[in-house]
Amino acid sequence: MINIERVANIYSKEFSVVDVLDGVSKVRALLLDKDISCCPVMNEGNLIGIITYKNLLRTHPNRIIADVACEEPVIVSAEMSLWQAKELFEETKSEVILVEENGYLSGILSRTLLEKRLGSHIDLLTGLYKSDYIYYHGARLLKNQQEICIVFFDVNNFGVIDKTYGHTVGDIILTEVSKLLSANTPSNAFLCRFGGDEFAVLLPAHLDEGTALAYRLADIISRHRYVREIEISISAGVIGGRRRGERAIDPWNTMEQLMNIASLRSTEAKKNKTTLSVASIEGDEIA
Amino acid sequence: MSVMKEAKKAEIQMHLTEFEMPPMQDVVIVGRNAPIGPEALKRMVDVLSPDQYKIIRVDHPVIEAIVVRNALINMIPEEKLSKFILEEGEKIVDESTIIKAHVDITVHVSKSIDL
Repeated sequence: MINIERVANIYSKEFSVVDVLDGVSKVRALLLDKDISCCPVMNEGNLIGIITYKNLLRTHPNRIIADVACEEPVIVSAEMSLWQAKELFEETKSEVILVEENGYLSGILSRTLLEKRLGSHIDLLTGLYKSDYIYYHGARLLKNQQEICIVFFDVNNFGVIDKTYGHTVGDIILTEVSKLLSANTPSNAFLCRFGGDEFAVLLPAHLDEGTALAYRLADIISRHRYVREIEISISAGVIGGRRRGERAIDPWNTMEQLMNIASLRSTEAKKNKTTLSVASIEGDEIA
Repeated sequence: MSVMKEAKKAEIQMHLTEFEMPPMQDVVIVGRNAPIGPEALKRMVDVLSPDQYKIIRVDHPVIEAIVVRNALINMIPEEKLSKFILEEGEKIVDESTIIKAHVDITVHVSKSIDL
């Protein structure tokens, strides 16, 4: 079962509200006292913006909040995934967003807090995102009925390399492989370290494009010169197709199945000593 | 033995002048870091003299906005008036100041008619 973290798990439920006629010094003191960096601004009971400590520092202390550049309030549901919230922060260039639950304003999520939390979704060795990044974007593409393709890689004989040369050398090789994958993955694709010596690329593209990418990456990785002249190759499993029309089936579940098939194909390729094993979905359909 | 006598005196002065209604004239030029912002000014005059002034926010490095009496905008197009105010205002305004200005507009009309 994929565990996608939601805004509900991290947002701050304790927040203060200020009035548009409050003075800047009063609000500054409030934020300092409560040890918070921002708060919603109300005018006659209506939410009109968000004020941040940064805004207040730039403003004369005698002014009223109405004269401070407030950020447009961006309000999201607490059920939103952290990845979607990240996209929203980038799109709106906001420093903070408001969170609502059951139709009521229930808290605040700052960009800093979100980035801190998303840091735990980044693999420390390679700097790549972990698997939930791919699951989120895959489910999103499926919901939008877009074509998707998953390329699943694993490094051949990595266990042997680890035992022969040691884990430090193994780590160096994984770092180099991840850099090669990052540098050669298209900008519209999503790359992650799936776990151990496994990597996955999600493409919003047809299976043929994924297959071509898998061959290209396998070639780049096998041509590269690694530490101690160790020869590295990878096996890949590719799966692709399109989801047509709205379905009751959960796209997260579909993604889980697809990823599983791709990983099995990769194992199959490894067993057959071929670079690639491709699984196309019959009738161009997924789930 | 002599005793010093201490005395305290207070002098009170009072100046009486008529309260200006509203306390600003035709135009107020607000610096970017002035202690009172354009929104606060607008709210103040709206309470004292409702619907008589308009805030014109400007893209200027020193001036944040000008608050102009609506009657002036009715006489001269807003863009022309604000351009004139900015050209003159920027010579004396700095970021932290608020300047009030008295603006007189005289319209000269000359017409020829057939006799």
